[in-house]
Amino acid sequence: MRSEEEAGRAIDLYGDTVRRICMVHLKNAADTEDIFQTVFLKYVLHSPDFDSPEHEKAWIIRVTVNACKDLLKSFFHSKTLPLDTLRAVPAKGTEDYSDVLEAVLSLPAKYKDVVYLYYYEEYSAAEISRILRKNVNTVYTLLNRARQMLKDKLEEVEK
Amino acid sequence: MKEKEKLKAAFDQVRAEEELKERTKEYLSEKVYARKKKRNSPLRNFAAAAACALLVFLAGGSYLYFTPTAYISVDVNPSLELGINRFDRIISVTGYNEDGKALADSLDLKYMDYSDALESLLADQEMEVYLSDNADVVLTVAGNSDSQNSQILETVESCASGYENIHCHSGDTEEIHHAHDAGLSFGKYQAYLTLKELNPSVTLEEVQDMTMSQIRELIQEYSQEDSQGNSQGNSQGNSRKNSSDSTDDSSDAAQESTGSGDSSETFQHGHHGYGHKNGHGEDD
Repeated sequence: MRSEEEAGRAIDLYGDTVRRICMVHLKNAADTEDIFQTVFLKYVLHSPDFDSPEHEKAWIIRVTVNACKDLLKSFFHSKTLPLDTLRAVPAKGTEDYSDVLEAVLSLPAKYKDVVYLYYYEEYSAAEISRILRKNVNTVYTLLNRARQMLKDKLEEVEK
Repeated sequence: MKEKEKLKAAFDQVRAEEELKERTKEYLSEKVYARKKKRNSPLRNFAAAAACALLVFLAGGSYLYFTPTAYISVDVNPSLELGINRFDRIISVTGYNEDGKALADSLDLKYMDYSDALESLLADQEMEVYLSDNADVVLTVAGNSDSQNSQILETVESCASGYENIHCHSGDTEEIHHAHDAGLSFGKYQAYLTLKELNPSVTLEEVQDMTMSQIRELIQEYSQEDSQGNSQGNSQGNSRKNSSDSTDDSSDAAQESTGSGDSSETFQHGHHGYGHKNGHGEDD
């Protein structure tokens, strides 16, 4: 059990990370809120101390990815279609990177985490393999394929 | 590299909305900390503990308070019994015959100290009616603990010292239960026991309607008879006893013969049945 201050600090610190993973996987705000609640509730109830801030962050990422997977797996999600589908990409930001984001979002689910963790969080392939509990070589393969697909998509857009 | 920066910039755009963070915090404080806060509040803990302690204290206290540990039985013609708890307060007033019940209803002795209660009882107007014609009053004290018993008896005696015709006794709790089973107050029951020793034909019903003066007179009469009988020879005493027995029997017989009620009939049947059984037993 963690204190309320600790929970608040974690939300401020890791909120963006969690939000991005949610954005990658989910398509609407309500689901994102669900994930936030699940993840930080788990964080609050998670008693053992973390070895380091990095450990803590990795733990958050792992829990978020799993929570997203669970949500997508659930019967309700596989059988219903929310009304606000595809309102995922925020329309703010001075420069328009929406095509890049859209390209990422259009990737098959298994590539998205890897892309996000590698390009944005700048984890190494070995670290990603630990966080996602995947073979290092699998991560490399996923990364290469994802890179190729992204390139194709972005070129397509530019044309 | 360009690709990588583009991706990074794109992801950078995505931030957790403040609203989302706030709502998550709210959710957590509602879901987790609201309950925890309440549980951890020392005042609340103390209040709960105090409430429990109070409950136990009240339950124990009321048990102690409302359990009679001693009885004072007041018998003139009305039979009254005062239940006294361990704090020397009167917690029950029970009348054991018509007069006693009426008296118990008219008196308000509950929760008084028993010495005050006795004084006000003896000074009461309704009681005066019974006391006026020099009737005998018997105060009997009985209780579980000897110390309380003797203490109460002392107080009762000092209370009664102003009156000539008040007699004090003490007894034990077991006899009280017998007395209550018999539907008599304790003092009267004791008197009945003494009377029964002298004259076994005395029944509870008879005693119930007698005043204490009458019972005491009877006891005196019988005990005098006994001593006379012992000194003058057994025959006379026996004959007198027999005569009294026979009169009792005859009255019983008369009741049986004249009585057309069900009870007497069943009583007779019972007799017959008993006789038959005996007969069979002898045959075998």
